[in-house]
Amino acid sequence: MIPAAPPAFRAALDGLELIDHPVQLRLRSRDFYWYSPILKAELDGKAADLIVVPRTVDEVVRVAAACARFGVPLVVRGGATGNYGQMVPLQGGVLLDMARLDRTLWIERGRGRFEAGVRLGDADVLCQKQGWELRMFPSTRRQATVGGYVCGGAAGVGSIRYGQLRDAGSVLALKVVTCEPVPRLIELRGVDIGKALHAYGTTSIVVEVELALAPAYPWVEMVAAFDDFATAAQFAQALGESDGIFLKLDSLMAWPLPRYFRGLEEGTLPDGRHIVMIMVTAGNATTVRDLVRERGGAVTLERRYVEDRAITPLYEYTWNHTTLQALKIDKTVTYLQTIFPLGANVEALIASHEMFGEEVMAHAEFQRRQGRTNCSSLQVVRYSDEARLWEIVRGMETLGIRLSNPHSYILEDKGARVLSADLQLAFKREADPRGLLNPGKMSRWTAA
Amino acid sequence: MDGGMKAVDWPSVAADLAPIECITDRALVRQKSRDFFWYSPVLNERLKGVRGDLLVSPTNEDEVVRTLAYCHGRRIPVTPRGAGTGNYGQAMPLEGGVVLDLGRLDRFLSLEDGVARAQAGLKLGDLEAHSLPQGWELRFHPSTRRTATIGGFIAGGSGGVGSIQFGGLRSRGNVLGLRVITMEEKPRVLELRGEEVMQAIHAYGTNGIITELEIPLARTWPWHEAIVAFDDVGRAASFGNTLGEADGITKKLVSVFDWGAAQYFKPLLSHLPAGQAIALCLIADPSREAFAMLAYDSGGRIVFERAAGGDGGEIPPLYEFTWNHTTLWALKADRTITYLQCLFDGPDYLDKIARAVATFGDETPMHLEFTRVGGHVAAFGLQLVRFTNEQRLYEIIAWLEATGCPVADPHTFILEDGGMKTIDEAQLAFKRQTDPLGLLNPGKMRAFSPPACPVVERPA
Repeated sequence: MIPAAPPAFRAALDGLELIDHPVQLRLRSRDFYWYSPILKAELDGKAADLIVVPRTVDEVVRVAAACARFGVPLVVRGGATGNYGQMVPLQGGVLLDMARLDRTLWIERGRGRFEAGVRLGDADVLCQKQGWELRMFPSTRRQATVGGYVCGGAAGVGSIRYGQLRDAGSVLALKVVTCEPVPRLIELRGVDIGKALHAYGTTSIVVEVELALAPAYPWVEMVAAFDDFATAAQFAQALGESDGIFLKLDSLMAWPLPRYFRGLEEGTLPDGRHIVMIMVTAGNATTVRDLVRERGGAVTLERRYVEDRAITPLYEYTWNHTTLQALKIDKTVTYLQTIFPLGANVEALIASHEMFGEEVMAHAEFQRRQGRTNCSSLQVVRYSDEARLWEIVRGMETLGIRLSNPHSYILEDKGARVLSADLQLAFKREADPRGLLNPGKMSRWTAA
Repeated sequence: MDGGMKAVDWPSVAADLAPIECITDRALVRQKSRDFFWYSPVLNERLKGVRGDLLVSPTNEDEVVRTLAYCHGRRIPVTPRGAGTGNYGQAMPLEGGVVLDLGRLDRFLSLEDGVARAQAGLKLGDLEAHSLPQGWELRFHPSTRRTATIGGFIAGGSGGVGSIQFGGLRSRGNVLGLRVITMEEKPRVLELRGEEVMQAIHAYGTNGIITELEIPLARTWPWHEAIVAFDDVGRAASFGNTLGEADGITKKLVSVFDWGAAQYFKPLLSHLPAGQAIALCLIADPSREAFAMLAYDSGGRIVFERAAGGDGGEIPPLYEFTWNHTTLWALKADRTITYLQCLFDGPDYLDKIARAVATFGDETPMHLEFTRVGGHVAAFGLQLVRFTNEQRLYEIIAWLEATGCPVADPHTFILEDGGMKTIDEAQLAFKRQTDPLGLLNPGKMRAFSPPACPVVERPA
């Protein structure tokens, strides 16, 4: 940590933008971990000792070299929109704030290359100007960065068409800086991308990201309301399975979740009704309307998606914004993050809704997985205590629903990605031999 | 069968319909009465003598209405025709009468928000000539893209190049609207919207004449063509499935061929390793790297690549070796070959393919078109068949059906015996409203029994 580091460490960073004001240190060392009462207890008060704001890759290299030489922990910060303390420094040290490493390098032929600190919303708008758009983005699109997304995210708005970030072909390349006395710049492509993708910056510092893009479509936002939860769930699945309907978003929220949503047009969220939030290409808006009607629902909102800071886009009620909207109104709720059994996801969804009623408000994000429509769920939970939370999790497990624990900052607690866990551990040994990058997050390293 | 209706004085019909263009020349009418039914030796026997009596070529919807009203009055059958690229005699006038050539109803009407509206006779390639400069392309098209019409595709086709992304014509959302003229004393102009369109899709024009249609398009990609070679067709099929299910790799075509089928692709032969199975693929440019990795991991070797917009050289677009063009290449080399159409679907569909290959070997060289069906990936089998006789053909079909691979028999012109399998009640009910006398493309919809209606003599 810095106090122990000799003055030579500060000297090595001479000329870089440094911040060490205690308020700034505290504020910038946080993400949205406080959605979880468990993480809140564990992470409150954790902070870096020094913030460095690099403007070029060379400056990143200088910081990495200094940390490696002096044994100072180094944690990378993007937009800090994660939910598991991905970027919270557990052992102090340097917080590398990537906000100024924000050049868009090029956009061409369906690919875009960005420095890690480019905000996703800005990247998307730049792509749109050339007829392209991001394949997927998190609900935090306006704040999150490209680098933060690939290091701490997994899927998002667009996954109903393009699957997961980790699917081959989503992320095309990562340029990383190692944490060594003489840092190396490594271009990761193909399977090697797994060495740094969704690794919370524990294996290397991602400085550039090359993404596959999608051609830009005109989008329509729609909300469909249903009297009955099972009908709504079956509709959301059928919609996702309709090969002829080009979608970007297919999100299911059980009543009373919509009660927490503010800022939508009058009549969008009828009392007592379960809703599905949809983004569909303009050419299929009528198709969706017909399907809603056929399934006994009602379209309560239909509007053209436009880039306008003054309008809250529909996607800001989905993915983990759903939990945020609820937390804005009721500080006592928290959430779960679960993975559903392929081919039986709707049945499990309905069964879990019946099992827990309003204590666990169902919220499912439909997405493509291995070519088929499945959902993951970010249920909003009326929190009583930790024991009850785990009881709920065990109840879910009896229905085939697996936890991807959002109440843990440990990398390996998210899903089961053993293959990339091995790859990441091996890469960390060569790229961060002293274990300085985001220490405490990779349990296999800590154990080794 | 020597087609034709003898009781009618066709030159006088032509005179009555003037100034609508009518042709009575027997050779020309015969030529315009045919499609690619001769891919099937069974259909060839049954349909080779079929011909209409009068070719009518309207240039606008009013002329279609006039023709239908006139023919209804005289109880003359009318069989609509696009470009005649079907394979089951869809557009062949079994009872003679008027062949209604819609090829001149070929206006591109509008493109807004990615939704195109066109007249039925517009060729698919010409539709794209309008839409591509604006960044839009067909969601999927048959391998006959250069010649087929959009109306013919919707009335007689099912899916094609792009179905691996969007499913087929029957997948909800791929056809938004159809304008249909009924066959009645006073023909009505109906605008079918949403799911109503299913009443007339793939109905061979038996229940209304489609004059206009509205379809959502897809944004264009730079499409990269590639051929991957594999030691055996099992590996190639497994690759096809993995590629189909790879959500991060954007593709428009995944076609797999046994060497037994690939050996007929003459313009490609210098690139194809003899004896190997191949996959022909269209891949979005940014997905090339992930595609190449997947091909390698699947034990494949890329033997041919052509960049998007690259120089064609002597090699036609790769899609012209796929879907039913495959059979055409084989037939060019060997007139005794025919083909099948079946669906390999379900969790064990790769196993079903393996069993079909093991059972029939080179008697039915495997040809697979990977496609999305009902929200997942499956494969259409368009196996070539080294034809011996009809009995053997139906033995093969029976084996496939018994193995859980429904066959859309391409050796019948009957709607219900082909892809539809059963009577489509909605189509039948629609026909009762739109063509009560059964004059439209008669003989194709078995469930419909028309009332007896002798030809009405020309009023004096």
